[in-house]
Amino acid sequence: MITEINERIKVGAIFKNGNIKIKWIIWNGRKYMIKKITYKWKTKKGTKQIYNFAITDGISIFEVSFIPEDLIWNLEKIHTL
Amino acid sequence: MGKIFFHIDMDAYFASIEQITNPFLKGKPIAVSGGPSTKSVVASCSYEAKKYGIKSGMSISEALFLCPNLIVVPGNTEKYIETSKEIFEIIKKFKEEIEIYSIDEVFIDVSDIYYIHGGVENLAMKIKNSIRKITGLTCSIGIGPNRLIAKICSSISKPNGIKIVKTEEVENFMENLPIEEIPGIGEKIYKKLSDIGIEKCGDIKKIGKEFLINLFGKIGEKIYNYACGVEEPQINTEFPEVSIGHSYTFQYDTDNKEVILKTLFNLCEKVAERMRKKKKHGNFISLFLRFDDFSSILKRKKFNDIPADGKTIFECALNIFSCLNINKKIRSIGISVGDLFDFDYQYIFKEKVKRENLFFHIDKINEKFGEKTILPAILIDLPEIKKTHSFYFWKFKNRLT
Repeated sequence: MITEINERIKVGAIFKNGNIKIKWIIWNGRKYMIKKITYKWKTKKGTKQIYNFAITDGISIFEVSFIPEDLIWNLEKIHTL
Repeated sequence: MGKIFFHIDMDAYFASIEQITNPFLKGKPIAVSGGPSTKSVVASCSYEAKKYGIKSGMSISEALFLCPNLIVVPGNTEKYIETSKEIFEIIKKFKEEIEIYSIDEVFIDVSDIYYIHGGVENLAMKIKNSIRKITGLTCSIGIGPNRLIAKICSSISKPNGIKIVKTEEVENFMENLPIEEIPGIGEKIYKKLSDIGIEKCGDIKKIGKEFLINLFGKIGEKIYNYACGVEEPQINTEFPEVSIGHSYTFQYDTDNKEVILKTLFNLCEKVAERMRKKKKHGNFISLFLRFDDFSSILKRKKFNDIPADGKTIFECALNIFSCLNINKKIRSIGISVGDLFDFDYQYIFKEKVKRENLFFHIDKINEKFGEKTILPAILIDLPEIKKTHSFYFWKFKNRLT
């Protein structure tokens, strides 16, 4: 099941060699340690480039987006089975 | 040395992307659909779902009937387009000129590069490995002396395979090939042929070209040539666009005229925007309707010099629509402008210049701030628009109060 969330979140990430590695996210006061980035893709909203990631803590899949221009991280969706 | 073509076809493309995005879906029957409704159709399905007889184009309700455990995942077009671009870039590293056949299919003429890579099989493996390494996706590659053979080969070698048919092997290969493997042979042609006992391409060759032309008209010749494995070995890196169209499947079958016409207007706006981008005008309008019983009609009418203006296209479409006697609910609707020609926008009439200027600026704003930032007010209550614009409507409402 996919649930639309669309909420701002806090993210711990490492920016290295042009790559973004997400380590954890905080959503609803709870910290989720990220085990793997399962997929990434880019989209555009007007002139703004958006980096999208599908990440997992081993239990759920979170779809998060990052707008470098505004330094905003958003939790878009959660996939659960 | 003759030509050598690759047909690179991604395996269960949308479904595979969803299975990588969500590893919990791996090994499970999944279908990617256009929407949550059971009225929407299967855009792509995993190989696990294919085992149950599920196919692209099937309605979700039908697919769920065949496989009650089917997991239906809503599609994400942007993600698929972006991944396609990435895949095309990977292939372009091997050969700059590629022919994009669809979102997940590419033809390349490798006649002049395969030997650098140690043969066709090595080159195919290199391409497959590069795509796999970067995207995690698998593809099948068909290799043949023309695009037709290459395409048939990729289809046969699925999933994750390579199939080669050399020039000297074409005749034997085609002889026993089932006719449904030929691209372009749909249900209707297949039924007609199987009704007269034709099952294999070899049978088509035996009955001869004349017989097929009598049966199917002009297309009979094409079927005959295809069954013999004959196709012009020429890569088109640029396609002349003959028509621009859009269609929409309603979430629920409807006979609500207001909803139908607003949807049609929205489609006309989309067509017009694409025509403006390509600097095209057209001479024909085709209106397509599919009804709740899956019957459909396609009406085509000539209008001289149709401009890239959604309102004018809609008026022409309405002209066709109003002549139809519709007494069934509509499932999907489509509109296209055909017989396109280049237009340089040097108008003599002041009024037209004013309108062109307006479109120029609307398109620029929409390009900068996102699709349909500015749109005709009549469209704001369409579900499709409401979904994407709900935040702005909320913001606007709060600003007013």
